[in-house]
Amino acid sequence: MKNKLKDMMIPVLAVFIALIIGAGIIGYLGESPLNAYYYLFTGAFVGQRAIARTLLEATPMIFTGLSVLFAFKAGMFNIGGQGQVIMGGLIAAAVGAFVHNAGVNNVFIILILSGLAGFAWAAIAGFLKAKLGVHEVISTIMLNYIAMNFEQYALNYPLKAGGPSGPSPQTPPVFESARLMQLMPQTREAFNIGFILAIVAVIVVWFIMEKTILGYEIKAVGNNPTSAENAGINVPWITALSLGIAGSLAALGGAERILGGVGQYTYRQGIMASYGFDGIAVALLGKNHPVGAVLSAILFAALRVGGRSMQFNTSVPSQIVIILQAIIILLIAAENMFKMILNRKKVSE
Amino acid sequence: MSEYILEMKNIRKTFLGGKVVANDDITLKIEKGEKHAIVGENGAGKSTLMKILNGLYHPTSGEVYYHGKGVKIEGPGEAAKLGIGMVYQHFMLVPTLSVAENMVLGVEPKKGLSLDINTAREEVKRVSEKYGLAIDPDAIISDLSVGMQQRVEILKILFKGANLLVFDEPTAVLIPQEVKELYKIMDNLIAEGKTIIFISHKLQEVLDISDNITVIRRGKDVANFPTEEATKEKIANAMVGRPVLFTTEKPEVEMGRELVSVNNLLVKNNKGIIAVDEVNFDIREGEILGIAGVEGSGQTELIEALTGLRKAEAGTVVLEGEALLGKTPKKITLEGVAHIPEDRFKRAAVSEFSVRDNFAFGVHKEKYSKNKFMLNFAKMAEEAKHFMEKYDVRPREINVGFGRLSGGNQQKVIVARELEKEHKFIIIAQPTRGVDIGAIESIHKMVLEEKEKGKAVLVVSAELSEIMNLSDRIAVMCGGKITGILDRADATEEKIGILMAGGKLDEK
Repeated sequence: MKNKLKDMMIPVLAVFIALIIGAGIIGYLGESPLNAYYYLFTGAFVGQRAIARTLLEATPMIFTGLSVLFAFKAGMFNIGGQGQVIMGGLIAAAVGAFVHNAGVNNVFIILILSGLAGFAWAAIAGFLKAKLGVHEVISTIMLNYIAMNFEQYALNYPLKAGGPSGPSPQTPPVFESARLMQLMPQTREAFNIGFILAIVAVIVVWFIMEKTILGYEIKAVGNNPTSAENAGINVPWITALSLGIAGSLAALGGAERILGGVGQYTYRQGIMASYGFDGIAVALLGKNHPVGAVLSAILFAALRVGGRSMQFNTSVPSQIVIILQAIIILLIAAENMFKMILNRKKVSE
Repeated sequence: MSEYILEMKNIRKTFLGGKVVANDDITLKIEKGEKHAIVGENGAGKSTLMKILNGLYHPTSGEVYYHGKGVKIEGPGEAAKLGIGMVYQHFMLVPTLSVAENMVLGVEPKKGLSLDINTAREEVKRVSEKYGLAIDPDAIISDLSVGMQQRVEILKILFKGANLLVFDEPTAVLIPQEVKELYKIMDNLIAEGKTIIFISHKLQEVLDISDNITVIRRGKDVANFPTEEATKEKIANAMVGRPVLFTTEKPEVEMGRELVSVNNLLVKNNKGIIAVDEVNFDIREGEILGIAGVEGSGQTELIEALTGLRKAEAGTVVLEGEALLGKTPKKITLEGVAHIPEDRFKRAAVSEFSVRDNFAFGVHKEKYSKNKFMLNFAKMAEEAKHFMEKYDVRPREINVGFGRLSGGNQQKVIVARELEKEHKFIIIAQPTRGVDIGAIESIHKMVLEEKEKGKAVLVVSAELSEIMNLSDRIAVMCGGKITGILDRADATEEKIGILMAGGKLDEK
């Protein structure tokens, strides 16, 4: 129990230190840090609209954060979140906007198809690792590039609204039946039921890891593959399966962007931002715990959303939040340094 | 002027701000020209004390005197300057360089800018002749036997001017013949005026070689006596803190039919080189077959092939008419093979898991599932409690991390889990590695109980005494081949040693 508390302290401490350093930079820019942080906070959390914005921005990051932590439990670094998000989004847009059959063009069916697409896409890397020992970091990065280029192709040719000669690289909007329910329509922020799905995913991931045979085997493989092999666990299968599940989680994040109405229900260029990569930071800051992923996704989203309000209301550029993020990630990555300092202190006491 | 070359007085070393006490007020006095043994169980604090002597750790309190003068040893370099040299269990040699090159590494004689190799070779000859360490200065380290490599280590520290030599478990990697030669070398060193400290947990060896013995238990020096007054029982008593039985009574068991039969087994290692070369043996019900041999003679690959972890190139393994080769580890387990791996961290357990989860490991699907998807944690906890009681695993706390148990208790968890599996044949590798003397006794008892139950037992161990103690027959491996199978009654250390080195026994 004490250790868990200590584990939680480090991310909190990292955020705190980042805010202090950020305050120094803001002060150096000639602004009042308190004033800037006031707008950063209110912009992210005060008022229905702010909350809707923040949670909307957090939703895909929860999914990609879960994706990274799921693979990590199996001992793998899933750097391929971006590609998986893109593939999930493209399938959602393609089926949602082009398939007329009402039975298929249904938001649940589309989510399942997106998830399967993400599974298949990530499982390529999983299969390569399990069968040929190709390192997943390399293969998932390469799959990202393939997905990004495929995205360009798809948006400019087969899925382009108005055909290849259409006005801009984006798909037509998905049909009504393929859209996710809006949760706060009065805010006009597209905050949708995808957030609830993300929370459900958090619970499912937690349940798999803590209660099921699969989770037990995944953790065994992640911690000690040679022991797992001796215990009769099918290590290659678990490896490929875990990466596949990780991929489907990220893909759901992509589907939410399209079906939730962030871009008027179309897939347009740049809509996937860097959510796949954000997942790495989210999982890292969340200490690879599902609930931690929710909290850190909301934190990163709040920084971005609040950053815009800060820029609007003060002379502090919103890029300052990128610095804050970077400092947080650095500090978390340097966790061992922290621990060493903490321990050193104790020894000298 | 003191007659002691080294005195360590009231050494205390704590970690984590006093939470862990590794050395608790240890006083060690080493006379000039003696062979002083330091014995103690794993984790008793021997290594910490030696690291302090070598300057790798600094004591929390206490003083070190060398030749009667108080010294503060800041690092290994300084220790070497004082004349303290260490021969580690794991050698610190560059395998691609020659003996001479290794010896002068770090203090190379130079001719202009280049290494003066001739001077180095002369030095090797001079030093090795002086101490009776016959060795070829031009031999490449990787071509040398382990015993020879150890000599190079000794040579290295002598060359750097060591007067006090510290040997850390020096016989762990040697065959019996090499051990005898090492004893001779130690005698030569003493004759030349050197002093020796050696660390060991092998009681026989301590009795054979030392002049004085210091026993360390839980960070304290609990006993100190001349070897003349020592017996195995007395040392073990001091090490464990209670009387220890040595020879576990071997039960008389009527051996049944042949249960396991291995024929012409051929297995390659990771490098694609043949590691198990046409091995044949069989084991009957109620029989313990021991496999002796220097580590790395193919034992690991043999076990991995038998348990399905490694593909065999050729041959057959049959358990009660069922062929095992080519099956997955899971299927082989279900056929009735239990396996206590040689390296519990690599093969047997997940350190990050709790004790409860490790008890279930490998039988989680068969024994502890609620349905196809869910684990029955309540049952796991209940059984874990029961096993901890039955096999005396301490502390009796099912949620403690496996990695935090002592070596002996970790091994008991693994042993318990494997013995409780449905099985006819059990493979036990290095049953007491990293296990303290107190637990060795109970683990040996468990192995012998398997014999009583009529199981076929294969014991692989690097500890010859353990093999001699447990086995009904002893197969000796060398270079992947079984060089001989002896009945326990005919087996002597001498004979096994010859076979371990790849020699042949005269027909007689």
